[in-house]
Amino acid sequence: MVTRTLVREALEAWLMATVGARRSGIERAAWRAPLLLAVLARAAARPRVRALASVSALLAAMLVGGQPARADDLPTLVFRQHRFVPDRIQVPAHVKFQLKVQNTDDSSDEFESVDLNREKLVGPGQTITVFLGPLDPGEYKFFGDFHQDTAQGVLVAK
Amino acid sequence: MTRWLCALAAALMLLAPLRARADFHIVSPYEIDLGELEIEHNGSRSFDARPGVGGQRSYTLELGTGLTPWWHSEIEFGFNNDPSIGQPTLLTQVVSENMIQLTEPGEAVADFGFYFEYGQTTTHGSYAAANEITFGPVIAKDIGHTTHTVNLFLTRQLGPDQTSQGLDFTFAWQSRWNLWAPLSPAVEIYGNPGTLGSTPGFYQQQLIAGPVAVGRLHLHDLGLGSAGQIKYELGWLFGVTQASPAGTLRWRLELEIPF
Repeated sequence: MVTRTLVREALEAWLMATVGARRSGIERAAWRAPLLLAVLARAAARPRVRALASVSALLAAMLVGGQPARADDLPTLVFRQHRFVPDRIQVPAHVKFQLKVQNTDDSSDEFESVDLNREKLVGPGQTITVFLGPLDPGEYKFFGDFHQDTAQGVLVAK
Repeated sequence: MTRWLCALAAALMLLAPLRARADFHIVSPYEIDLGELEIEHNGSRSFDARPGVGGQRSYTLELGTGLTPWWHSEIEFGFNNDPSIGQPTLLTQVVSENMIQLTEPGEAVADFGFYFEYGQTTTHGSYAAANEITFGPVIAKDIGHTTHTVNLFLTRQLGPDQTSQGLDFTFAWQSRWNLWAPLSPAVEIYGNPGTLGSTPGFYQQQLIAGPVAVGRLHLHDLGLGSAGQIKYELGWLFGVTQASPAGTLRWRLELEIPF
């Protein structure tokens, strides 16, 4: 039953991924591998082999789960006078994207978000890239960890 | 290819029975803390009616920071108390801990790090213990509002006080539901099947698992300044095998302040 569920979920995810976006060869392989593992698990006759393949497929599905299309055209988020400019930024839901964060202040700050599970230092004059998504639609708070009283923002996924 | 080999290795290891680590702490590839000083305390106490199994206590005090954007380093002072051998609370080990972030969080299909530590024993005589090196992969993955972290470590004892000549395998897993920053529920598993190639039977190994509360409080919200935060973890881990303590209380308290 578990194997059957894995096969079904892997197949659905694979179809969604294949139809939904253009992918690199590595990404396509990453999507297909869990399916292949699950099929092998189904075909395997020995319980231990089946168990091994099922666990492998589960782990593989976990590792590649949520591999989405990408959206790269987003405004840069700027630390300016210990505030975020803009302090509200809209991003596409359900896709992976890169958020550039620039610090124009003369002291370091840290882009941090509990909602997004990210924290990264941005030195004075530096620009960093934060890899995010895919996100469910909704609002995700972020802040500057070194100036929490002023550096607050919201990322809106739509 | 590399990530798939890691996944396959993890799957193979998951099939093996496990026992608990002495140091109950999940290493995360996300916490580099560059530009911040981290002061951390970990503690655990085992509970069991059997002498030699219950009553063991261990504590750590750690100081850490990010040395580069991808390298987090800590110095840890480990204290242990074992009433079964009449050992009072002693500073037993000074450990250099290091976590190398191999992938930028969110960039790859999962987030990978490599952990290594060297522990220098500080005890002598009847309480003597071996020096140790520990290393292995750290794998984490965000799925929706959950974060899953796996540690797969090997430990090699060094020096004249070795009790094991091989590689000891240890395992730790945390799955956390990111419900609310000040309080999120998690489940943890700690295990160690023993020395590779000569592992005892499943029920002679230790395996503990149970719920853990995880949270963080910003100092700004507490009216204690404009930066920094306090993180905590508090959990109760049940013994799964006969050799494991019936229960283990574990806690962690961490203060992060920018410098």
